[in-house]
Amino acid sequence: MESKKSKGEENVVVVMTNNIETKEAANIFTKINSKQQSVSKSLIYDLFRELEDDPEHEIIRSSDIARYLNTDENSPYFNKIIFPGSSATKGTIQLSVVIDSLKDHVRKNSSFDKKNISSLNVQTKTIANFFDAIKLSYDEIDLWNNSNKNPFLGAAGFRAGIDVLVNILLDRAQDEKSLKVDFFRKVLSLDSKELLFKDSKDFKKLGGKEQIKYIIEFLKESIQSKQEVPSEEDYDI
Amino acid sequence: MIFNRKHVPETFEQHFGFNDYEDLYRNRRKLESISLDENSIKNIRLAADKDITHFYFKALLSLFEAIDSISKGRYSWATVKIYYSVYYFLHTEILARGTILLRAGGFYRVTLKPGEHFITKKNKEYNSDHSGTIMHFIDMYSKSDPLLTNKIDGMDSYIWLLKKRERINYQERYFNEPSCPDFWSGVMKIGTDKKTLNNTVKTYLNDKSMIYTFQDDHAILSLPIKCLQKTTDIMMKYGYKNIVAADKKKFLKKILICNSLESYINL
Repeated sequence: MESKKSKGEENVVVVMTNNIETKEAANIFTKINSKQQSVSKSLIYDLFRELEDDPEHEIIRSSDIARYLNTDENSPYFNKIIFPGSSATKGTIQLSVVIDSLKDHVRKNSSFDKKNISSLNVQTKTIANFFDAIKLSYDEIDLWNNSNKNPFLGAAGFRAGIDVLVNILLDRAQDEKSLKVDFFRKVLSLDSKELLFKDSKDFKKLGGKEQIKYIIEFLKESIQSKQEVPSEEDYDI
Repeated sequence: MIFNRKHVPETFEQHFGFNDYEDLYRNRRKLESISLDENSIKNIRLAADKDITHFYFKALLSLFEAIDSISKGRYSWATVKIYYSVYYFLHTEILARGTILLRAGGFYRVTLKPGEHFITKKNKEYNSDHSGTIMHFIDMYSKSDPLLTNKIDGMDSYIWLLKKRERINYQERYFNEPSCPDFWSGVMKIGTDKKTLNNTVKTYLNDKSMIYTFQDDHAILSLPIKCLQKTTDIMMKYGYKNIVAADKKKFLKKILICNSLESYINL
């Protein structure tokens, strides 16, 4: 402070405890400083919502969601995401695709946040539950893990799924106040006898962008065809 | 016009009795039958070591000039310079790993090991210096290069960058200045003026998981920075240290506006 006066104006964070012996204090100090790990920046965004305007937020949040989807044993995308630099992987979807699909929807005031689905945990769970609902239908015929058949294990399926989730199903979720797997299953109403496969004639001849549109239409049709249409008398007019 | 050609082709031509590039081109069949021996490898390796220093300097200078341009709001030529910096980094890495590329009509490669032969592919992508370099690189390192483990817009990262350069150089009707091309939008969000650019570069330098590198709105700056880090790691691994000449170092330091990149000059 003698050489630089402005040092005296800086804030210092101090942790204080009551009534502990020096030995115990040393123990706490050692534990903290030998085991501390950096906290995911995405969790910091949850704590300090002011930081959500940070231009890096959307990429960091999207990659954190991808990391959870890839590492949670109960996730439909457990070990399915290819992280850059990982040579030995059984993954089928590149991290770049997951981030690119999510980044426009996880930022402040966009698709998820508008429904008050804002924290990392709930955003991740919503995405996992939605794809889990699709997975259960493919599981019925034991084909979820078959990347030659299952379009949702590829880039087009993931992009299409996110599109339908944010553009159609989040509104329904708001109405029903539910983000559960059962809710998504009910709305999607996928019949395991009428699922879409990558090796089907109509699908495999399409380019990447057409494949995304095709899967979106497939999901939309499934949602609409199972929607209950009220009888004419049931309408208020 | 007299200028200094690269050491590797000159040494190769001298060693195997070709008068010049035209002679090599006329006798490219002979090239395909050449098998490297210990003596030729030793000579070519010495030439390669000299070329590496020049390629690395070209790569750094191109990248630093691009960064300087960005800070002044000039994105079109910065895009072209960034492409060139990656192109030179790839040449640096190929030589450091012990392979040489040689033009003789088509673009050939040979690994510097006894008994190895020149190979190419009869595909037009292998004919030009630029796509030829990238295609040979991908053929050799697609499984080991971290920058080829994800794609950008469905393309290998180096091809994506080549396309962006071609769009700016040849395809677009006009340069976008004072606006900037759409693929710069993510970089701009983090910051490209003189005050924020160093922080943006640091973000990409510290991005160990490469979450920005394959995003089409960040890759234009993140990719060359990751390429810089990767190339220097490989050069260290193969024992190349302090390879930039003192006068060139001084010049690079003079034009560099981001101090977070200064350590790479002293490699």
